[in-house]
Amino acid sequence: MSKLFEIALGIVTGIGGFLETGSLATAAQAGAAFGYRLAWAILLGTVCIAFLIEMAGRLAAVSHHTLPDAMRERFGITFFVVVFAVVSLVSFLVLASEIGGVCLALQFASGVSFRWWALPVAGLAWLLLWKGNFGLIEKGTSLLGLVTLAFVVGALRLHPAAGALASSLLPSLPTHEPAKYWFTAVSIIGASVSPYLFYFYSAGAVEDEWDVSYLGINRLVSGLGMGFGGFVAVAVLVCAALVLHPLGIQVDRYEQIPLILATPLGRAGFVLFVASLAIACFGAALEIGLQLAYLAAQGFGWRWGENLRPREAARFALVYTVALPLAALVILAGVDPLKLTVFSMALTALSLPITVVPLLVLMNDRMYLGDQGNGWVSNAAVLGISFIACVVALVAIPLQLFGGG
Amino acid sequence: MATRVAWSSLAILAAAAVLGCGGSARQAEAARTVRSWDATVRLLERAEGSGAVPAGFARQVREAASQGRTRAQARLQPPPPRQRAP
Repeated sequence: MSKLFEIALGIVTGIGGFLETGSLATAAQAGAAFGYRLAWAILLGTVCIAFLIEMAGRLAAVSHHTLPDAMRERFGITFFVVVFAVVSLVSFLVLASEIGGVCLALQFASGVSFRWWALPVAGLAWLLLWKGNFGLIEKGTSLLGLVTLAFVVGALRLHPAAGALASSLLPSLPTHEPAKYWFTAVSIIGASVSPYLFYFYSAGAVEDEWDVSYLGINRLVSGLGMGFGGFVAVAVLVCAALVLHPLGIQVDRYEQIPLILATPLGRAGFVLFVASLAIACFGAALEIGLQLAYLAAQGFGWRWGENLRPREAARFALVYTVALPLAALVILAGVDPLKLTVFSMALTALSLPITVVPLLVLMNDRMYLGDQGNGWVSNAAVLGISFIACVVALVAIPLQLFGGG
Repeated sequence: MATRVAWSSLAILAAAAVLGCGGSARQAEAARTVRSWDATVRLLERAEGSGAVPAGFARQVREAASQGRTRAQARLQPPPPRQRAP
């Protein structure tokens, strides 16, 4: 495969794979409640995840280590178990949210309650992981995910004010509802910087047998893929800001969100919204299911690989075989998918230092990276964004839960 | 001793202030939620009228609006007065 084609494919999969239930719901909530004002949070989250993805790819290409594998080797098993527990918990909640997103899309299309779809959706995801290979999971769902570009078309049809949108890319203080403003901001950052994204990417780079010749591709794919992906999330925020915000509609239930695309694009907009939600969330569910298996297998030294047959990597396959139905049970129990999504995203932001700092230490270790270690810009950007998001989450989550703002 | 009393009084005042603010903030939030659901139904009617959403989906939004409105209105009602024991 030519390098140019690989770059194009990587960027396209980055765009198609960026949007999922977390980024969709939090961007829609932000646009509805605060207009364009929280666009800066999407920009901040996108910058952070682009750096993290690039680092995870570079680590794999230079050291041929996946992230959990290097972490256990560098910090020891006790420390790894702590990171493993935090990342697994956050990823499990996000997995349940993604399954919830697919189920809601099916409810909107069929009228049958989302709860009834939970087990069939988890079953289909399991079947694809069991029978499929890495290329199918990574590229297939991301290419289908290009349907989410419908939000860009919808936003353009609504004629956003470019000047106002550009100025909202700089952080600003809230004019009303400060607790909700900061809670939504950290949820957006949490949705953008989900740890499953860079853990999955690092495992994928090793599955695809990257070496140092891939460093340029890695930089382009992470920068442009995530950049354009963030652009789609901004388009969701713009649609909500121009359809829901002027009418004073706040997003309390997922049922309100399809109207942001049905208003500018008519029936086609509704259909595209349902397809976007179903495909984006299903793709993310597959990736998170795999990432949970990668994390456990690579961290504990089991045999792993989506390109191996399940019987050749039995414990690896067992992890997603258990995780998928368990996550489906959360949705089957009737937990509100929107609340679960937003809470999971805020929790992700809260856990960022635990998930990000070990990666930064590895990226500055010459034993692993040689002369390909991090520069001060990427260190400062990722560390700064992670700690700010964590501190804001620490303050905003209790305020939002107990209503002090 | 006096310092301890002063600190505990401050803590009680802070807690009362936070709880008080929380109560009025919750009422304002409930009123906003009711208005938001009314506006959602009006937007839905427009979308349904132009054929932008199918009838089945419109039913789901109306049901969600009815549930959300009822829950928010319950938060707006003042709590019933306490009855004295005979």
